Amino acid sequence: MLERLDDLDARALTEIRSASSHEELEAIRVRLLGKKGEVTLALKAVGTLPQEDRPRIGQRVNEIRNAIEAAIAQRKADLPRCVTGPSSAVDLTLPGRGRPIGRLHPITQTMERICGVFQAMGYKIAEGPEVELDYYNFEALNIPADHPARDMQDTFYVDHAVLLRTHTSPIQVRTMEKYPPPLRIVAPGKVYRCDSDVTHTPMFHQVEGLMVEDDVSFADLKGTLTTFIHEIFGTDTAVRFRPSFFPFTEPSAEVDIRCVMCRGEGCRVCSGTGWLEVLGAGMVHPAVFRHVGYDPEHVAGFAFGLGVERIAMLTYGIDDIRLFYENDLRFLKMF
Amino acid sequence: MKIPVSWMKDFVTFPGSVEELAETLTMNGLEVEGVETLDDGDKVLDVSITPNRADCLSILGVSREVAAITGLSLFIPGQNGLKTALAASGVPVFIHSPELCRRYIAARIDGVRVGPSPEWLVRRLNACGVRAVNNVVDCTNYVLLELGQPLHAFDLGRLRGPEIRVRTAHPGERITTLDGRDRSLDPSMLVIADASRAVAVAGIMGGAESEVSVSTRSVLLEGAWFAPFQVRRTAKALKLSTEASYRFERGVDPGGVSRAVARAVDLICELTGGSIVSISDVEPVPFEKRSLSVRPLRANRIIGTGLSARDMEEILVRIGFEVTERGEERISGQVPSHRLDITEEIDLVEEIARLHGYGSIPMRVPRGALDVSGPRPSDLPSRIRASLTSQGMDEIISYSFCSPREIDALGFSKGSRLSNPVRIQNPLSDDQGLMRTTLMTSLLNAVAFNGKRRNIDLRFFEIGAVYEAGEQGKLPREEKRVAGIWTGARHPDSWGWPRDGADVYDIKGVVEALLDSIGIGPWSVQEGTPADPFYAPGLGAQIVIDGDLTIGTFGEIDTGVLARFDISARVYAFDISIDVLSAAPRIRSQFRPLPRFPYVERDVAVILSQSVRAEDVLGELRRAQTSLLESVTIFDVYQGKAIPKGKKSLGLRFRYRAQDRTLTEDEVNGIHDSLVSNLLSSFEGVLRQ
Repeated sequence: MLERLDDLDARALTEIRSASSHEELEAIRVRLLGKKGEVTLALKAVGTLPQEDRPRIGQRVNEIRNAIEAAIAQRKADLPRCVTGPSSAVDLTLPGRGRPIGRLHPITQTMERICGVFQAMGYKIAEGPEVELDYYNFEALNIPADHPARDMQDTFYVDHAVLLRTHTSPIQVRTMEKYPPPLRIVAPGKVYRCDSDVTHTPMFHQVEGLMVEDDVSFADLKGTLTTFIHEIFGTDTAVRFRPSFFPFTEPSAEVDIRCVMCRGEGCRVCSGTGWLEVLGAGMVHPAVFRHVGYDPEHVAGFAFGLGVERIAMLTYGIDDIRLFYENDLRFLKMF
Repeated sequence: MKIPVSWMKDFVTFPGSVEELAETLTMNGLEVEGVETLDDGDKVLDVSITPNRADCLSILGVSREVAAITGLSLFIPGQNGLKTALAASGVPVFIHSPELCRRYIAARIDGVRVGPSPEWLVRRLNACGVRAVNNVVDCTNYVLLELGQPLHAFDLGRLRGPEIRVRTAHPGERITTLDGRDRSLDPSMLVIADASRAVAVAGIMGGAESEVSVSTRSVLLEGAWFAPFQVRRTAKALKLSTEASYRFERGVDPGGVSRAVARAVDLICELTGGSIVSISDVEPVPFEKRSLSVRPLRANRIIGTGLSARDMEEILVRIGFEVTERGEERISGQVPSHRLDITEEIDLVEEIARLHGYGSIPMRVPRGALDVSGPRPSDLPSRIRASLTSQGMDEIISYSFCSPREIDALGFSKGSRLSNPVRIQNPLSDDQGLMRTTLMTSLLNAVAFNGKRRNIDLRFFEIGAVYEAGEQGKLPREEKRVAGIWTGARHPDSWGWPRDGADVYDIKGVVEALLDSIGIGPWSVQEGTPADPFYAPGLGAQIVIDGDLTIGTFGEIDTGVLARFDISARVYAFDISIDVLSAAPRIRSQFRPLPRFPYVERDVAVILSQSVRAEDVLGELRRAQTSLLESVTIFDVYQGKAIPKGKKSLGLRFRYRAQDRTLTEDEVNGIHDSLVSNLLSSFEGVLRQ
C-alpha cells in the first residue's frame, strides 16, 4: 500500500508540473482529487485497513493530498492567465479620456535640433538684440558703408544707425567683445530682410556658429559642418563645399547637400541641379578679429550660418515658407 | 551675368561640355545658376557673381577665370592698345576731382553714320539681355559686356566748347538723363560737364541732350575710371542703377580702360564708317599695381593643408599674380590690376584654397579647450515652453511687426509704454510699419485667422521680443515676453469630458502651473490696479511677486477689443515678462521630513458677501498662526438657489496634522471651531446649513 502511494505521489507531481494549460491542470485535479479521484479513493480505502495501519497510511495519504494541492496551486500561478473574454461593462476600445498635447512650433523644434547637435560638440548658446546697431550688423563684420556687399541683404532701417538685424552674425561680434578666446558658440534668432514671396518672408530665423581657437583651420570647418549635416540629414547625405563670398569670412564657402527630395536626380526643389544650398561658412576674416580686439596672428576661427526655415522645409517637406507665420492650428498640429 | 558660350570661345577654348564648364565654374566660386539654350542653339550661362568679383562681370572676366582654373591659355582682344597718337587738337579734358576720377580717355570719331547694328552684334547683345539701340551705342554696350569697362558715347556736336570737365555738380544743377527723367543734382555727385552744363552723371548715365541719334556725325567716346564709393553713393541717392554703375561701384579694372577704348574705337569705325580723329587721355595719378606677399606656413595653417610653396606659387601665377620673390618664408609679388578685391594676405590665402579646390582640403575634427566659461543665456524660455506644451498649449511664431491700427485696437492710450513703438523707415507695408510693443496683437491675429478657418478651440502661446523706441541712433528697449490665450472649449471634444467653454480660471490655472513649474513664488493677484487696457473692465489683474514686482497680467479680453480684431468668441489671456522673471528670485527645492502621523480633515461651507475675495479668506487663515492647520482648500464655490442675493457659499476643507502625534477628535474640534468662528466674524459670514 505504501509503495503504491509513493508511486502515486511521484506520478501525480510529475503530471502536474508538466501540465501545459489550465484545462489540462483541471483534468488532472479531477482525476486525483475529484469525488472518484485516486487520492479521494485512497483516503476512503484507509477506513478498510486494519486498525494499526490506519494512522500511518492515513497520514501519508493526507501528506500526498496536501502536496498535490500545493503543486496544483503553484502550477496554476505559473501558467499564463487564460482569456476569459471582454467585460461587458467596460469597453476598452472606447477612445481614452484625452489629454491635450501642446506642440512646439516647427521652427522651434528645428532650431532646437540644430543647436542640439552643436551643443553636443561643446558649443554654447549666445544671444543678441534683434533691433541692432549698424555697427554690429555691418561695420564690425567688415561691411563698411558704401560697400556693394550691403546689397546682398535688403535691410529694414529704423534710423541712420539702427536697423533690424539682417543676420545673426552680429552676435559673433558682441560675444567676442565680451569674452576672450577660445570660444565656441551657436547663436539662434530672428532676422529681418525686406523681401516677401513664396520663398522669402520679411522675418525668418538663422543659427550662427563661431569657433575660435589658437589653431583651427578650414579643414576643421569642413569636418564640423559635415558632421552636422550627417546628424541632421543622415550619414548617407553627400556634402560639397564651394567657394563663395561673405565680407566677414575668408576663405568663404557655400555648403551644398545632395537634394533630399530627388537624391540628386534634379527636381523642382533643387532647380534641377541635384544640390541644395544649406549653409554659408568660412574662416573668420582678420578684419573682424581686429574689430573685437583679437590678434589675427594668434587666433583663428571659423563661422557659419544657416536658415532654419530652409532646414525645416526640407525635413518636413513644406513647400511654402509663409505657412510658418500664419499659425494655422491644423498646420501647427502636424509637427 | 549672362555668358553666351559662343562668345566666350573668342577668349578661351574649354574642351569639355557646357555642363562640365558650368560645374567647373560653380565649384570654383562662380556659381552657374542656370543654362539657357537660345533659338540658334547657343547656350547661355547664368553666372552669379559675388560682390567681390567685379573682374568677372564680363565675358573676358569669366573666360580669364576659366583659364586660371584650368590652365588653358587666354586670348585678349585690343591688347595692342590705342594706335592713334595723342593729337594736340584733341577735345580738352579737365579733371577737377582727381581722387574721384583717376583716368579719363576721350576719343573723337568723325564721319559716323548712325544706324542699326549688324545681326551678329544684336544677337550677342540680346543673348546677354541687352536691347540694341544703334550701332554707336551698341558698340559701347558690346565692349561693356565683353571687357567689363563701361563706356559712354556723346554726340560731339551737342557738347559746348567742345570740352569735358569732370567735376562735382553745382548746387541746384539739373540734368535730364537718357531715361528721360529730370534729376536734381547736388555737390556730393560727380558729373561730366561740357563748357556750361552737366552732360552725364559720372559712371551712371548720360544726359539726353547729348545723346547719340541718327543725326549724329561726330562722336566723343568716353572711357574712364571712377571711384567705386562715389558711383555707389550717387546711384543710391538718385535711386538709379545701371549696367555701368553696377560695375563701377564694384571696381572696374584700372589697367583695362585704354584697351576697352581701343576695342570700341575699332568697332565703331568699322560699323559706322567713321574714323578716329584724336584721343585725349588724362590720368592725374597713375595707377600702380599692389605689392603683396603671403606666408606659405600661415596659408597652410588657415586652410589645413600641407601645400608646398611651389604649389602655392603655381596657383598664384595662374590668377595673374606676378611673383617677384619666392621662398618657403614668403611669396611676394604684384596683384593683377583687375583684382581690386585682393588687398591683404588673407585674400591670397583664399585664392590658394579656392584654386587648390575645396574638395581637396582634408576634413578634420577640431580640437579645442573644454571650459564652462562664456555666455550662458537664461534657461527660462525652454522651461516655459516645456510647461506650456505640457498644459496643452500650442506654440505660435508671428512676425515681430504690427500696425498703428492694431496698437489702437488694443486700447493703448498715448504715452503708455506700449504706444511708443519702434518705427521702420522702409516697411514692406503699413501693416508692418512698427515693431510690436506687445505679443497680444500677434495672438489675437492668430485667433482671428484661425476663426475664419473654423479652428475655434485654441490654446496658443508665443515667446518673443517686444520693443519700445529709444533715442535716435540708440538701441530701443527690447524685452522678452511670453503670452498666451485660451478660447473655445475647456476640454478636448470627447465623450469623456463635459462640453464646457473655458473661462478665466482656466487661464489662471495655466499661469499657476507655469510659475510653479519654474519655481516662481509666492505670488499674488492684484485686482483693481490698472492692468493692460485690453482686458474687460474688472476682469484683468496683475501678477505680483513679493508684493511689489509685477511680472505680468492675466484676464479676459475685452469684447470691444476682440470686435476690432474681428473675433466674436470669448478669449482669456496672460502676458508675462520673461526678463522680469529672470531677475525674480526662484524657489530652491528643499527637503522636508515626510509627516509620520495621519491628518484629520474638516469640511465647512460658509456664506459670505460676494465682495469678499478668496485670497482674503485664505490669507486670514494663513495668519491664524496654528502649526496644526496644514492646508485649506476651496472645494466648492456656489451662488444661486438657497443662497441670498449678493452672497456666495465657499466650501472649505481644512486639513490638520501634528508632527509628533496623532491628533485627537477633541483637539481638532477645538481648533477648528475657533478658526471658523473667527472667520465668520471677520467677514460677517454665516455657516451654510
